[in-house]
Parts: sequence; C-alpha cells; structure tokens
Amino acid sequence: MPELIDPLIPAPDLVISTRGLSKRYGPLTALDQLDLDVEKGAVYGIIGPNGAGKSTTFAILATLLIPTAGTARVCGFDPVTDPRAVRKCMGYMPDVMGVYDRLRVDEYLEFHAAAYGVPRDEWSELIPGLLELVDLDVKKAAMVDGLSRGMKQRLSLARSMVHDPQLLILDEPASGLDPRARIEFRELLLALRTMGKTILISSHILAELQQMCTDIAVIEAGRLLASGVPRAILEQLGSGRRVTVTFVGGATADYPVADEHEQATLLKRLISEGAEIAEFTVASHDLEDLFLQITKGIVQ
Amino acid sequence: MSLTQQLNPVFDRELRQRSRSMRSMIMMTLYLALLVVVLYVVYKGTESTQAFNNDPISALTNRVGRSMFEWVLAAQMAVLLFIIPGISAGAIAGERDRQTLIPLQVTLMSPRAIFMGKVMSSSSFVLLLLVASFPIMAVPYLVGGISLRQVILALLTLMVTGLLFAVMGVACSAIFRRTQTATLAAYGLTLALTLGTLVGLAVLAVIDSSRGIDTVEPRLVAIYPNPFVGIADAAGDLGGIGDGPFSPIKEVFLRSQVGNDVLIENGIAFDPNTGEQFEAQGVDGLPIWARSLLTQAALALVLGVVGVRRLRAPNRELHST
Repeated sequence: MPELIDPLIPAPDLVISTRGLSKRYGPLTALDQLDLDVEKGAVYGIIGPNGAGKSTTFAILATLLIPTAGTARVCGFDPVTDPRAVRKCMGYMPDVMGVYDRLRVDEYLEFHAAAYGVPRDEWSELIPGLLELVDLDVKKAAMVDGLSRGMKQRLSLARSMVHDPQLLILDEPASGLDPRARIEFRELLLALRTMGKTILISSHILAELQQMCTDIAVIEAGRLLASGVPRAILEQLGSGRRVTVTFVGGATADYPVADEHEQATLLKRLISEGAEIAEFTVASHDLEDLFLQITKGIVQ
Repeated sequence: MSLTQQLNPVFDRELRQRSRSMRSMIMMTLYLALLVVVLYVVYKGTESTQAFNNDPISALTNRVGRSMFEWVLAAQMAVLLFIIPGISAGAIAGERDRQTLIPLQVTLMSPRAIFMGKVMSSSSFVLLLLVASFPIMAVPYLVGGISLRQVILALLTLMVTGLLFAVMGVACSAIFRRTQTATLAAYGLTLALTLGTLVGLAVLAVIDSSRGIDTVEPRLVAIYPNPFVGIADAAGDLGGIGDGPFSPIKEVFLRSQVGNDVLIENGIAFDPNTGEQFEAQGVDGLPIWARSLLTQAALALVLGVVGVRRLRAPNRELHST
C-alpha cells in the first residue's frame, strides 16, 4: 500500500483513503484513528464483530456522517465538504434495503435514476441492462415489495449502480440471504470486479470475503487491527499450515509444517517410525482463524 | 425537456404510488359525501327557519346561500385540517421507518428538493380534494347571497392554508424520527393553531379585564394564525355576525372594535341603551385573511427550514435511521 505524505493529496490510484478517521458519540468511540487505503479496481473486505465500526466507516465514506476527527477522500473528494462529487462517483448499498409499496421494479430504478440526474433518454437502455446484470429482467414488472430478500438485495445493488459509479460501498450485502442467494450475489460481485468496479464490502460471511476480496481489513472496537492482501496477513500470523494426524485407535497429533516438502518429509518419517496412520489432514489458516486470532471479542 | 423529466422525482414516484392506492379514492369519496351531507342539512335547516320568519324570497335565498357557503367552507377547513397532518406527517418519517431515506439521501437530490417533493405530494392530494369540491361549492353560489370573488378568495385561502399545513406536517415528519411522534406533533400543532389560539386570546382577555377599565383590547394578532380566522374573513366581511359557523370569530373581532358592552341577538350586535347597531370594520392595511395566511406562512417557513436542515447529509448524527 502506498503511504500518503500529505493526507489532503491522495495517490492517484487510490479510490478511498482515510487518515486518522475517528467518530465519537459522547464517551463512546465508534471509530478510532482509522487509516485505510483502497486501490482502484480492488475488492476490499472489511471484517469485524458487530459494533466494530464498519457501518460507521461506511456512513462517513457514503457522505452520511461527519467524522469527529481525521480526513477521508473518496475518488479524491472530501465526503464532508464535497458530498455531491463523492455521490457522483460512489454507489452505496446500506445493510437493510427498504422498499416502497405499490411500485414496480423498473419504476424503482427509474426513480433512483431520476434522483441521480440520469437523463431520461438513457433509461431505456440503462434499466434493462441493470436488470439483466442482476438477473431480475424477468421481474421487471413485479412489485418491489413482493420480491424475495435475495432479489431485493440484487435490486438494491442495481439501484446503487444507476449512475454508473466507479466505487461501490456495500454494507453487509449478503446478510440474511439463503445459501443459494449468497452464491448468486457473490458471483454478481465477481462479475462487477471484472467490470473494473472498486468494491468496499463488509460481511459476516468470512469465507465469502476470502474468495472474492483482493484486500481485507480487520477492525474491532473502532480500531484497525490488520490490513492487506489476505495471503500476506495469513503468512504474518506464522505457521501458515498445520497437519493433523489421526492414528489407528483414535489418537491425534498436530504438526506445524512450512510447506509441501516438509509435509511429505513428516509423512515419510511417521511411516518409517512404524506409526499406523488412519488420517493425514492438512489444515491451513483461513480468514475465520485470522479473525478469531486477532480479535478479542470486544463489543462496544 | 419533457414534463416528467422536470417533475421532482419524489413527487413523480409518490403520484404513481398514490394513483394505485384505493385509500385516496375512498378518502375523496368520503370527503365529497360529507360536504354533500353538510350542504343538504344546512339547506333544509336554514330554509325552514327562514321560511318561518316570513322573510321576502330574495332575502331568504341570500341567507340560505350564505349559510350553505359558510358551513361548507368550515366543514372543508375542518376536514382538511384533520386529513393533512395524517398525510404529511408520515412523509419523511415513513421513509425512515421503511429504511428508504438513506438511499435517497445519497443521491444527487438536495435536502430541499426531497422536502419539496414531499410537500408537493401531500398538497397535491389536498388540491385534488378542493378541485373535486368545486361543483359542491357552486351550489351555494347559484343559490345566491355570495359573490364570485368571495368564492374564489375562499377557495384560494383553503388551498394556501392546505399547502402551508402540508409544509408544517412534512417539517414535523423531518424533525421527528418516528412516524407516530411526527403525527402526534403535526396534530398537536394543528390543535394549537386552531383551539390553542382561541384559548390564548381568551387568556389575554382575562388578563386584560383584570387590569381594570382601559381602552386597550386583547391583541387579535394572537388568533391570526388560526386558519378559521383566515377563511372566515375570506368568505365575506367580518361585519355581519349572523348565525353561521364563523359567528364566534366575527364576534371576537366586533367586540375588539366596539367593546364588550354590546349585546348580540339573532346575529345582530347593538347597544342595549341606545339600540344602535354595530358591524365590525375592516382593519387598516392588509386584510385579515392575508394576515392569517402570512402568520401561517412564517411558521411554515421556520419549521420548513428546520426540517430541511434535519435532512441534510452528512450530519453529526445519522438522522436517517
């Protein structure tokens, strides 16, 4: 990650940059000195327990909340002093999608296109294109309040893209979805990634973030605990992989190994020593291990 | 640029939603039915009373026409004041409750445009009700006793009052987070401006009389924000007290001008010693209906500014949830 010398002048390839970003509500510190850099084209996942400050961070970046201290730049603009410029380049999807009653799916998108000032003569291509992208083209004439939760989430994503933003800020987009809807949503985000969108996403489903994120940040109690490329963070934790050996009779033993060669050597050694091996399992660290290892379960 | 492109997006969306709702149609039907019932009851009641008095036929029709006109106006005002807070107070608070306000706030619509869209949506329904009542308002005009100017002025006063109360309702909706609180505040404000101003004037009168005999009467400005004062004046001059729904307001104005020693019988004010009859005189400068609307407008403006500020984002707190 490039280091910023002057917080007011972000590097050109950074879509999001925060320095010392803090938010306090009286005695409660919701966000504490957050430094975050999100590069163009990245899928940046933010993980943390409930109350960690994820939604507060998103609300500040999405021009909804004024921070108590620190600076933020989104697409090079300050969300506090130039919210309109930020809104033009950013699509925000809050964790809960509210819907209007007595409004059709295409009308819902038309409404938001109008609210973003998209010229009306562009709607005839824009709306069907978006509905096709989120696989809701067959639901074009359906009432919004009659959609399933998964469909509503996809529609909400389409809504956040009506003005073709460079950046998408998605707050817990997969929460409350069933497994199939989660997989569909993940595939949709991967498609957006190939389209070159920069995505800042938070989720409780850590396995999903691991599969789709180019970078992750772990925050707890408003503080950044770790950030970077997932593999690099996992390596920082040391003992990247472990082997669990189950012997005949049920006894088990864990062996730390550095790589595949060390793993093979271990297996040979155990066999040469006459050990009766029933199972030889490689267990590598994943995001859940990382999360449990570096967070302490502090909830504000 | 087409008309739909020029329309405020919030207003446009709410028009679509409202057009699909049976509630609006039912409300309009009930509204018009109520006005027809009021018209009929007043017609029958006034006709029989006046016939008993053996008035000449022209005087009878004039009295019947004026009485119908005033009662229908009063009924319209009362019903509108009951309906408007119900429609407008949920405008923004309802968006918060449904979690639809945040996606709206992060669009390129300004807080003022969102607020105005909500006001336009609420007041358009009021306008629709008033336009639908035109044929009913035409009946007293055809019967007689009122001028076309009075009809037009009264309807305009009703419309502007409806718009201003819609602004106040939407402002309450923006200021208070929950729909129930906003609705309570909007109805409380309406009650304060109607009954509250009269109580306020009565309190001022008691304070005034406790100071002994003087020439200074309670300040009528206390009841200027009362929407019934505006419509009473717009419906005709406040001089003749009569026995219509606006008689109490007319009496207040008369007593403020000629003192409390006059007697009022059968809608006529007179000096019990000399028998001299009185009529309240118009005030200098702006007519009372204009003063009434201006005081309401000032209040609506203040509340509107506060309401728009609450919609502003970014803010120090999330008012959207």
